[in-house]
Amino acid sequence: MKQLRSAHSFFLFTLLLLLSACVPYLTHYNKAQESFNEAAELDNKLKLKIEDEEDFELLSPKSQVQIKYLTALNAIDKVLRGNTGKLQQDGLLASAYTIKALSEWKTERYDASIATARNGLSALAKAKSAGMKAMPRDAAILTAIPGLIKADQAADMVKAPQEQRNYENIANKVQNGLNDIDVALEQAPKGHPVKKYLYTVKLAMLETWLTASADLKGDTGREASQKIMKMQKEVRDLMK
Amino acid sequence: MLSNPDFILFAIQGSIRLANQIRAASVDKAKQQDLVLPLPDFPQELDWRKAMLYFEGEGIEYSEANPRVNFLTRKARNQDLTQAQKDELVDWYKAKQIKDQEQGGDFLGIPASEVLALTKIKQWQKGGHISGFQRIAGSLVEIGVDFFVQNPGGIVKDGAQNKALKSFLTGIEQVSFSDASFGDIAAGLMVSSLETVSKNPDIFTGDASSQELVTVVTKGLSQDIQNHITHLKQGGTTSFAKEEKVKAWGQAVFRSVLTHGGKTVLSDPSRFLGTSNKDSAGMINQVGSAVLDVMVNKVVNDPVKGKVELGAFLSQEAINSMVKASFVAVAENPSFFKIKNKGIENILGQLFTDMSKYPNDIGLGMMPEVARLVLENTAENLDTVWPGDTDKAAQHLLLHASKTTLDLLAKPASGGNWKPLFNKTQTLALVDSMVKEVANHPEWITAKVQDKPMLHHALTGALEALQTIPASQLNKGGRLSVVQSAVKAVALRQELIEKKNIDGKEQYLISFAVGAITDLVFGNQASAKARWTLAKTEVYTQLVDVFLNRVTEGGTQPEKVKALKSAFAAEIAKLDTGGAFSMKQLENIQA
Repeated sequence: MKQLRSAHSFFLFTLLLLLSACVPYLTHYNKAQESFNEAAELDNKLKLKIEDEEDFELLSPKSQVQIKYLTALNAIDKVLRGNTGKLQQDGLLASAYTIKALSEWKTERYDASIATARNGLSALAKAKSAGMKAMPRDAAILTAIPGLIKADQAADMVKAPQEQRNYENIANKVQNGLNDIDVALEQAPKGHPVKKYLYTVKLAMLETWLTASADLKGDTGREASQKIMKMQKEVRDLMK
Repeated sequence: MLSNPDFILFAIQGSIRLANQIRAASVDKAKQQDLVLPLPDFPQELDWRKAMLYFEGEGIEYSEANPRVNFLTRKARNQDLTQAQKDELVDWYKAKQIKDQEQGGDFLGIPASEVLALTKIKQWQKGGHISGFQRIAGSLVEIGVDFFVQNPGGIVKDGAQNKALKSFLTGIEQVSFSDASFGDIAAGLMVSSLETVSKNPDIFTGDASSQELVTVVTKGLSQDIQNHITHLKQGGTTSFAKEEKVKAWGQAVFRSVLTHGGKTVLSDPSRFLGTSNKDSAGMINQVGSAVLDVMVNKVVNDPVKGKVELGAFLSQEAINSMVKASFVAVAENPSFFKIKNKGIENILGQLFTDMSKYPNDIGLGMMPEVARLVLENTAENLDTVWPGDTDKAAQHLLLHASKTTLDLLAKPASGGNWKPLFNKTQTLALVDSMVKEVANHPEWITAKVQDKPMLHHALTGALEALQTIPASQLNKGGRLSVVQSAVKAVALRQELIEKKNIDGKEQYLISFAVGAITDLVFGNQASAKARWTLAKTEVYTQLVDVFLNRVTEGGTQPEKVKALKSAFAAEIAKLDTGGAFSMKQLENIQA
């Protein structure tokens, strides 16, 4: 009886030991994702003008968003440092790169974001050749990163004072970005929710383009604007 | 397919043996987390460009009908607006848009809430229809693993816990979950069922009856909890905190129902309607549903916290008390408390409504006990105490009895602030005796004088008599005894609740009678020696009892009471002279 008990205790001890040592990096990974999600949620609420219950007495909401994105970036950097092998083995490497690339995009580290997205896509390709399950959300987002960056850059250009705005440059930026998003849309499986997100991105980019078209005079301008409005409607219809 | 309970069981056992599977589950969980995707920037400032584009597009009809707006829009397109005109165009736009803004705005034609939802994306889309059980199966495995790691003895093959777990999983599989978030309900209930089974090995032996019970109770209450949460969501009144409360209350009721229902049904199934497990389990679910429904839906206006649900006032012990009493009622009257009958719910609901109006000392804090008294006495006297429609709690005589009693106890003394007349135990004892009085003699409530039930007059008369005794001279226990004696006397002689003008004062005969004997003990004419003997609580209360007995036997008219008082006074006077004195002598005294 005593032997049975000690065997039982040993079994439990070994099991708990295995459990505690199993995925130490995962805690940090989860924290990074949590910080990123908080940042993105608040960021989106600000854009959608949804009031949040949180109190921002010390920092503006925009500063809070930036701090949260940076926190996520630091955390995911730590996870990636020295753990790429384990992440790849567990099928989480591409997701880690996705969080990193998105965090870099939102903190305006555009070159780094594009480089990270490439790493992510290469990790996905490796996983695929190793016979691992496809990661459609990450694949679409990593592909979309250049387009997402162009969306923000174009929006910045539209916000500039009128004398500094150049319609052609903005239109080119938006069109290139839309092409990038279209490539990402092709990656996503039919009916996957990431498609709707990408359509939303297109709507935002078209809004930027539309606003830029207000700088065009007369009928030319009016026609250009009408054309973009029609494109917006088409995207909205696709989302239904 | 995870939808097979046997497979889940196997998964739990396998996971304990193989920690790597747990590791894989943690990784899988991380992979399946939602990722919130940020929206890109886009021009949001309300400037002349936005206004012009609106009046050229979506708002063109408005622009065409409004010459000024049309003029400004055309000028804007030619980049020919002054700053003042730009501001004016923006004002026109704002005025047109103000209604939409008030409605919460949107994101480029899509409702903001919809956009917010579509930015939360999982790695893999859901393929086809996934049942609620499949969605929660993963978390059940995790919880099961945790539980059995903590309680390794429970995983014995064919053991009671193992069988209970299988029964639980069979029950939960039959629930049509509409939302993946209900996984934590199932997980919480699973742990509760395992704990309940571990703590009650004598009830849950693993036989076919107990297995069936676990299955049906699981199914019933899980569905109830889900229905409550869905209802909250549909009503638009839900919040995370509120949902969590409902889940926690549901879990507490589940625990209680499983234990007390199990005890009631499995210890003596022949007391129920039929002996099939399904009938018994159906009645058990009725109790659980009723208690949970009242906890969630009955709301009181708390002066500090605002609207508070009954559930917030109830501890696990209080829930146990109500559930236990409900089972007594169900066990005694299985043919009455049939499935879908709202009897228990109506009783609990009405009690809550009544008791939420009373001061704290005699209010909701006592509800579980009062509910127990009412339910238990209902069980024994159903036909007499609830003669009418059981959908109408107003026709339940015992609810009237408790309300009448507590109403009077909740009344502040004339001109003063409210103070509790009795402590909690004494109040419950009084409610208990009044409820029993009414159960034995329904006319206490059904017969009325001046629109008030007899019980009201009897209690009022007794309480009025007590007001003449200073608080320092008679403790609460003594007062309770006097009230009970007075009611007992009225039970024998109804005319004691008649009001008469006696010595220039309009009063109940019962008040006058109690006052008469009280005056002999505490009044000015009582000598110090007599008071020494008689003012002790036990002697005084016995004296009241004897005096009221003599009144009921000898006559209730004021002159007879006065004569009786004189006779008692003469006997009591023997205490001053050292003569013989005993209650026995008083019992035989002639007025």
